[in-house]
Amino acid sequence: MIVRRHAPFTALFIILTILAIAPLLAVLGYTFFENGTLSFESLLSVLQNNSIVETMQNSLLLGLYVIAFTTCIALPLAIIRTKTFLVKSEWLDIVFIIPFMTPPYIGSMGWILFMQHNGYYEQLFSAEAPFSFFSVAGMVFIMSMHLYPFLYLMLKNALMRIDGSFQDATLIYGGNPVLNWIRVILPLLISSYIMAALLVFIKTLAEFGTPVTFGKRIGYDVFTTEIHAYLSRWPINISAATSLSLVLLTVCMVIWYIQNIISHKYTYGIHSGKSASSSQPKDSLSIRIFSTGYVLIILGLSIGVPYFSIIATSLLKVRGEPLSFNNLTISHYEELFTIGSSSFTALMNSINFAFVASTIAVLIGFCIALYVRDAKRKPQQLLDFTSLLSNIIPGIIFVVGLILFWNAAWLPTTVYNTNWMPILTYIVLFLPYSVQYTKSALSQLHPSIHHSNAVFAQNNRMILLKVWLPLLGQGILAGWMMTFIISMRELVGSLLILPPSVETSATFIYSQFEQGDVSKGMAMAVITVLLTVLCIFLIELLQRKALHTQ
Amino acid sequence: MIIRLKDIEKKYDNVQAVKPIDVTIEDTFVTILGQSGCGKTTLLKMLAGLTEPTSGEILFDDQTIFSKSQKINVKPNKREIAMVFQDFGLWPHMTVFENVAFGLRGKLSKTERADVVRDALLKVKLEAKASMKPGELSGGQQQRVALARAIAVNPNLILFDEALSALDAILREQMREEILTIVQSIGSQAIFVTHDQTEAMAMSDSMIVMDTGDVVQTGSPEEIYYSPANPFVANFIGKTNWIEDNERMIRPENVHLYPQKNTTCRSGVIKKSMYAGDRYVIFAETNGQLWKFYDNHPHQQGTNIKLYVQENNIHSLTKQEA
Repeated sequence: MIVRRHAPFTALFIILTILAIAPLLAVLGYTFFENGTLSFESLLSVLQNNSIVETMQNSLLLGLYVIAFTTCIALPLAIIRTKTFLVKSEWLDIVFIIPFMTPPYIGSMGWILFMQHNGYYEQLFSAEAPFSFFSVAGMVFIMSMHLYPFLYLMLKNALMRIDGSFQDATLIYGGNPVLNWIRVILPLLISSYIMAALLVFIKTLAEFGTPVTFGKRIGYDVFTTEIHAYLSRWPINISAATSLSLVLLTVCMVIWYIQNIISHKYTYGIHSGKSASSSQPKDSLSIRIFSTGYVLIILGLSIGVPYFSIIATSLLKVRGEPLSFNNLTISHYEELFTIGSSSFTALMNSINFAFVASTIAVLIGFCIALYVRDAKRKPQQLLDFTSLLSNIIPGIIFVVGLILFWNAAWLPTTVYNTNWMPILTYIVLFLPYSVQYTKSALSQLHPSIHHSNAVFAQNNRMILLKVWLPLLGQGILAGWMMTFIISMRELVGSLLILPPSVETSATFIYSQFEQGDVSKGMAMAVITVLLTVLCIFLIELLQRKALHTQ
Repeated sequence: MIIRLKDIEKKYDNVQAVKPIDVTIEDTFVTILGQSGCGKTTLLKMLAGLTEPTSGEILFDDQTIFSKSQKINVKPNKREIAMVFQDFGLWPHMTVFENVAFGLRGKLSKTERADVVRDALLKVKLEAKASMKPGELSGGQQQRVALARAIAVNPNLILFDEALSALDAILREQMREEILTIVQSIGSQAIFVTHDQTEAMAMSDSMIVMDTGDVVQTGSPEEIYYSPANPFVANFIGKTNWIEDNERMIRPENVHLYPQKNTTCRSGVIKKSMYAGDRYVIFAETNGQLWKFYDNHPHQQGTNIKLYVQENNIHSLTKQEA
């Protein structure tokens, strides 16, 4: 009976151990064990290396700059969305997700194409850019344009919650509106802000796409690009890569720990029963113009410019010649959809890998979410934490670990160098999405649903078929699409673990951009972002429908 | 059915949610009464099989339903019970009919199911709503669906977990009666968890009063009202007037304004009068204690009055406590 009762936990835990824990242990083992004995040599030698200090400094500074800049963009945006006539424009939030969901390497390629010498900026304005875009500032700008929606959504939600009766209470008991804002709203907002900012910091540290495309051009190396270089550039230095991964892991863990403390200590129950007053704010014309203008500028910079660049480039007949109708062609798209072409094969590979990976991830995620429920018991918490590990640990560390683990000599069989390797990698990296989507669908149900099932259903099969699938189906499907779409364009894992001569759309775009036909690469990029945007809308639709039926 | 709980207890880590309990339940309609957090819902969930006791045994007649030592734990769906939840626990994607029929799947054929469901919906007067979804119904109607679902499976025992707490006062009183009638009509037993003393007293043949994880008193509502086992029960169920030693008490309805047979007299000062609809609750200070009694008109604050109490209506709490 004991065995049977613990069977679900044991099975799920074994799966998660193989997927997520084993690779992390492999990183630790490789760094600290040499010929079976404990040794700190490789870690020390890496730490003493001068360039490491610089890399670390680069990464951390980049994180701080990006926090500062995303704050400058996101805070006004959040205020505009909650305090002006735009408060009703729910659809804006979906639009703001687009830059966040655009693969960062594609966004950064768009900006490079726009700002580079002879780029679209010079063509459109017939003048050189008045400042040097190819600097750290440019990199911070590109990364902020990718990450600000994250900070914006968290701040906006916090501001929304603070509204309602809190607001009314401040109006009655408080004095001057500005002082009210500083005394009441700001302190309530600050914990949400710090948490979001720390997550932005982790995301910046973990980011690979922009540093590898833009950072390389300006010689700005960070953790992720260095780890990638150690593993892909001759002479290959695995122990340097693992040591560096450990340093990055430590930094992320420390930040995550701080974030946890803050969220436990300083999060107030700011759910005031009644929702915000529904009266439409009456804004003056200048405020209307300013807020509309601000939103348009931000959207123009974060979507307009990069999307324009990649679409224009994908349509160019001859690169180097200016944009004109004579110089446009759809031949790159024709080639992309020619069966047997290298680009078509890469696209199909991506779709196949992502399809299998997201399907398996959703199955595992569904089981985990059902087991974890409200995470009250210790085994539930353990499983919950393990399944969400890749949310806080940068993908590249898992990739390094996966390479080491699946190359271990003692393994009787391995998926390394097969098509299962990228699939496995995507599952490990994106499992949190399928877990969280199912969990959020579950959380919208009354807690007593579980009890109803236990008391009235005759067997588990019936609970699965008649209750969970119809009730959670939409959430599961949304999770599946999310996993599918981000697996499809994943770059760093694909660069490092694809079997020889296998390409995915992401590696195809990267290699064509670096040394090949940029237009071909951009045609693929356009297809990728189109699929992404399509999926965002479908997911949004599913989530709304699910909310509506409850 | 005789339900026996033998040394049933529940610990969460180091927190004792329910202390070892020994209770035998034979009556048809039993309520478990206590303040929130006293462990009453945990006790009910242990009976249902939704929470596993840390130790002890549960028997339904002579069948062991749970036993820690013998490693027996019959699943909830095999205990021949039904349950009605505070938040109803209806499946939002199924129609009323499907919700009620769900517990019969795998037991009865489709046509048999239809008959049973129709019967159950008829009993709760919801036959017209069979094809609606729970979300389209009012709270009271949803709770009736939950009740129909419970009686449809023809259980030996129906467990009610704060089943009426989510309803408004008028509906609550109406549902009390209906639940009693329906449960009696199908010949099932019922255990009803509530924090509402009037509800508990009105509905039950016998009551189990709980406080901080412990059963403090069991008995008929009358026994518990007139002979509470300790000050907690006395204060929790009904209003109390304490005698100076704080070990004896008298209920307000036994305090009179005019002398009767064998009454002793004490003087007091009126503090306030509160209108309760059918009568006034008068607060008066007497010998340093604040007493309550009833009258059909208000009294002027500050007036001196005489209160008459019969010695034999004074209940002493020290005896039972020992």
